Amino acid sequence: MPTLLLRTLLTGVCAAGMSVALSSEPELDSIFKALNDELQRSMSLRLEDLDAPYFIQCAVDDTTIEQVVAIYGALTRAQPSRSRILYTQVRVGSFDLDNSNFIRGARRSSSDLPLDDDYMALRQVIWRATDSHYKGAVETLTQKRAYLKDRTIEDRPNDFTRANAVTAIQERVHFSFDGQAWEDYARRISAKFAEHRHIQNSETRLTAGVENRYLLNSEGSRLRYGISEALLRITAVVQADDGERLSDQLVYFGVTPAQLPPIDKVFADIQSLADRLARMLHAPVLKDYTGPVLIDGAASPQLFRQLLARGIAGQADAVGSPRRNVGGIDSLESRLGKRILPTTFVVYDDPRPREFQGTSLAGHYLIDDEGVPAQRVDIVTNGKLQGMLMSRAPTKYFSQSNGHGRRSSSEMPRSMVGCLYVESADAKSPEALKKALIKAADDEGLEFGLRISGLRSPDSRDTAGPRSGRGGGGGGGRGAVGDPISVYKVYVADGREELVRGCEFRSLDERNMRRILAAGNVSFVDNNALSSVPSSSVIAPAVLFEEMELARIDRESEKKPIIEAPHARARDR
Amino acid sequence: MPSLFWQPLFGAVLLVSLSAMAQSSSSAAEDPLVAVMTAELKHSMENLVTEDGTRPYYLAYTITHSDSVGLAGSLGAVEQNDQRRLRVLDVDVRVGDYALDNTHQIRGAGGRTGRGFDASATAPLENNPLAIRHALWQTTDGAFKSAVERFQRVRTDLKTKVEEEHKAEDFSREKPSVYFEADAALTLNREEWAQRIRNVSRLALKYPLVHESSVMLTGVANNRSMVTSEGSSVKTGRKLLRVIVSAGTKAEDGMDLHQSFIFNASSESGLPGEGQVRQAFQKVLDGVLALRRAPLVEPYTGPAILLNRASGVFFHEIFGHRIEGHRQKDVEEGQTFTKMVGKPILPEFLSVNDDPTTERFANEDLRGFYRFDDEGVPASRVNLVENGVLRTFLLSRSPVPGFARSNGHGRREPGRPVVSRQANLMVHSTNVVPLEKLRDMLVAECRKKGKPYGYLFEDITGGFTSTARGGPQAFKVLPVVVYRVYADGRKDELVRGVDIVGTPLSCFSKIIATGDDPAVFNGSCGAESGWVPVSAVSPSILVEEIEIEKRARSQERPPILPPPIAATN
Repeated sequence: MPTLLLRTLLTGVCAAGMSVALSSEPELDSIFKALNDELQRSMSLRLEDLDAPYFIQCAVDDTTIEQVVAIYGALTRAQPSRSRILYTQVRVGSFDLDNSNFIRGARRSSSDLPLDDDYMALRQVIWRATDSHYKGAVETLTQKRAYLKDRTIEDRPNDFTRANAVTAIQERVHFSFDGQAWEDYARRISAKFAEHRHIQNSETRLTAGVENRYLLNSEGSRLRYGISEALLRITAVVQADDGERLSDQLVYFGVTPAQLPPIDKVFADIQSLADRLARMLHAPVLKDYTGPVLIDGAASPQLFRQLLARGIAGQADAVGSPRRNVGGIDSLESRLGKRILPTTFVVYDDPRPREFQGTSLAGHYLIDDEGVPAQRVDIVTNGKLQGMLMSRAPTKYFSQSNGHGRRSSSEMPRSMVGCLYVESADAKSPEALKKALIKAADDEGLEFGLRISGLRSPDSRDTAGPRSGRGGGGGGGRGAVGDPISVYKVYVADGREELVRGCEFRSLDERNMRRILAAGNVSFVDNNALSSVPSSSVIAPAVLFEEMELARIDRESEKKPIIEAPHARARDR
Repeated sequence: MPSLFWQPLFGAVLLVSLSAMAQSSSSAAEDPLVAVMTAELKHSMENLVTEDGTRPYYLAYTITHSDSVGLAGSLGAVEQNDQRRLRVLDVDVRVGDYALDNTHQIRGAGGRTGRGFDASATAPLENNPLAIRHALWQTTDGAFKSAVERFQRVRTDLKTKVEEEHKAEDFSREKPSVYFEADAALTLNREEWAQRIRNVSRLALKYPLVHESSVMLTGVANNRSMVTSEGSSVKTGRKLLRVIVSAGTKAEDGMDLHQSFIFNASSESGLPGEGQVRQAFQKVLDGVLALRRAPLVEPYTGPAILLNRASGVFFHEIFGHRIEGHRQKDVEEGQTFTKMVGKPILPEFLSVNDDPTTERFANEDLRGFYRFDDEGVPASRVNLVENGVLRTFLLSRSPVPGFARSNGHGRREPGRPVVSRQANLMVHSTNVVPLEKLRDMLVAECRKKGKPYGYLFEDITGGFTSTARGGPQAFKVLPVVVYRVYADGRKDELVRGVDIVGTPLSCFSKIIATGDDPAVFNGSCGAESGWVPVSAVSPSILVEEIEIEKRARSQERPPILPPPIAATN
């Protein structure tokens, strides 16, 4: 079962605190006690003369999720799901060299824990999992030592770094979800699409859940806290006469379902979505373009996520990796100390604030998945790359965690974005930005410049489209960038805007960021929540790129359906 | 290479009934879902046409609504408590004509069923006409376009490759069926069952050497609505319930050991009471401990008895899969029996039929029971082997040379293409002796061959068989409870680590006699068309010679620390 990662509700934890004072000691539950008792015992694990564990961590995600999906007024899915997943980490060897970070390691998966709060039944599963992980760890370390014997690896960083013990035990959170009310909400939203004959397909998906998270390790960290998230995602697809499928989404994030918008607000947004798609349907196709591009609105944080998020995560190459490029092919490590943005820019990650100008941030958390308190990390200062996001796995350049070790499903925690902020000291008003775009186009002798206000996520497939062809372009290179959704020609002559469609970025990567001409004074938030990776947020202003290349999407489009969609047929039945 | 699994244990997934589903009505015509399906089917048949005038000659819509529950517990705690509602839509569209259509095998191209992945989708759970029609419309468009494209490839293939070995039409002509059954609905009380599971599973707290154990309840109510362009309109409702107790541990040498017992029922009233479940669980726990102490076997060839249920699995696996119709015309199949119709393939005293119309056998519900298959053809009893002579095959609407009509064995798991499958496979014998006598015969056979012992297979969890031409025509079945029966009269000895291997044709000729004890094995069978519920009924059989080999085993040691149960007891 896929784990959905949820957002923290942890309250009362001091910002950069090492340990957290609690007003009253909450009661310890069976999961906590079982983890604690089995962890104590597990430190005595030993196989003959082989290594004993030097570090054990047990984490549990106790999750309740409701997912409601509707199309055209009917539910296609309405399902609660309940899971308690145990993630075990056993390290043998030493901080310098242990069983982690090795390409051929024995892979152990997570385990399902009983749903009843039954101490003995819980312990039994924890016991079996720890035993299995320990054996795997010993085997892997033996293999890794043998591998290293025959090879020299320059500046191999330590495998693990020390961290202070943290104790924060919060009350467990409980999930309250009025199933009938939210099912009705989803039905009514989905039924709206029956009014829009040009929309071929649509889907309304509401997901909400809470997660009580536990983390105990042999260094003495003891954590229990609850997180909660709600997400409404509405997808609509149209198909142009030439076969191109165009989709767009409305996405609303809230800490609880109650934070989702009232239905009338959603209806109004659907109307504008439908209008936008109708215009897009008849918009001309953009032929090849090279020139200035204003990345505006939601497109800006989406673009920075796609250009930066992977590269700024500090990650040592696993021993035995086939390629030994510095930091792996996606890493920006080799650019440390060098300029990657104009000098007016700063980039930092700070997961601690829960909101940005009234918008809840999905990437908010106070303690990471290795028990390390979240910290602000200055990544780019004066345009230069200075820092990286770090977990407890050191790299050649950074030896300490800065509280960004996060776990996706059953993987070991890795460094990942929490809340990434892009800011510029030289911020222009939206009007001034548009003028700058026009000027830049004019300087190039172009008839128009481009403004892009939405991107598809690079790995997204049109959830509502039956077959969506290729999933996003980007022309290869480092971490592909999703196709632009809303693209406008902005004419030099009179500033008039014209919607166009059918294009993708060509050879776009983080090197383009060096040639940003201007930034806006309004920031936009991109929340990524309830997916298979840890939730995160990117906050960035509109930016004007001196030059980008866009090309006609060269894909085989499927013909339009032979029969008209039921809601588009003449109402003679 | 298709391996087929017959396994009662894994596989089974768990689903649940929350709400009552569609309002029940008294006939197909009044059923709101069937009415919407019929209307959209008509609209599609009238309007689906390509630019060059190609139309479907056959279109079928099937919506299977499943309400399911899954509850499991271990050591007194509930581990899983799920319920699920799911509607799966299948669109079967055919282009061309009955003689040759888009489902025809394209040699060497794989994907032998001629259906793309886009012919299935999840459908709305509620009978909102617009939403249902939208799902039907969208899937139909994709499935039709794929069918047109594939039919083009079929025609090219026929022109470019050598003449086909076996000629048969692609789709049989059948009389349309009209049938309506009221909705089946689960009435399980989940809370009561959760408590029962806690109570029973707690028993394992007394067995620290048993590392994992579980008590599980699964139930599903499948309501299937089907309409076709030929005029069939079939709605059926069926429930399948199971209680499964299982236990597992590791022997000191690392071998993983498991035992389980399954109760089957087609209604809640047929489920066992707490006492019966407890008794079965206790037996499984004791059984797995006994296995832990049992000696390992060495490879062996010699006489053996397969007890009734084990024999049922054996026939399902080794015989049943090889008389499925589609394997007789697929050039990539081994076709063990294709040319054997009218010829003896089993000892004269054995007859085998497959009868989906039988609901119960000796007070046990049969999982392979149904009234109409997944192509809407009425189920029928098929006499496959009469007095050892092969008469026919299991047939869907995909004809086999010499057999132009379906015999109601076209089956699928919702979301998969239909192929011919087993339902209730029944083995009959005229050479019957009491079980005690059969044992005596085993001992006599051992002495005759100079073997110190023979084997008795009491329980088999499942097995697999390879029928493809590329691989060996071999099978393997996985026994869990096996005894050595000594020729010198010593007490039977439980052993572990045994797999039965062999090749089908040589195996059948070595059956000497059968017991008087026919019994039911209820399971789930997985093959090209997914998992389908099946049964096998067979008496015990005495085989002159069987080959067993050592089972592959885990090299991992048993847990290092004592189990928490023991540590705190």
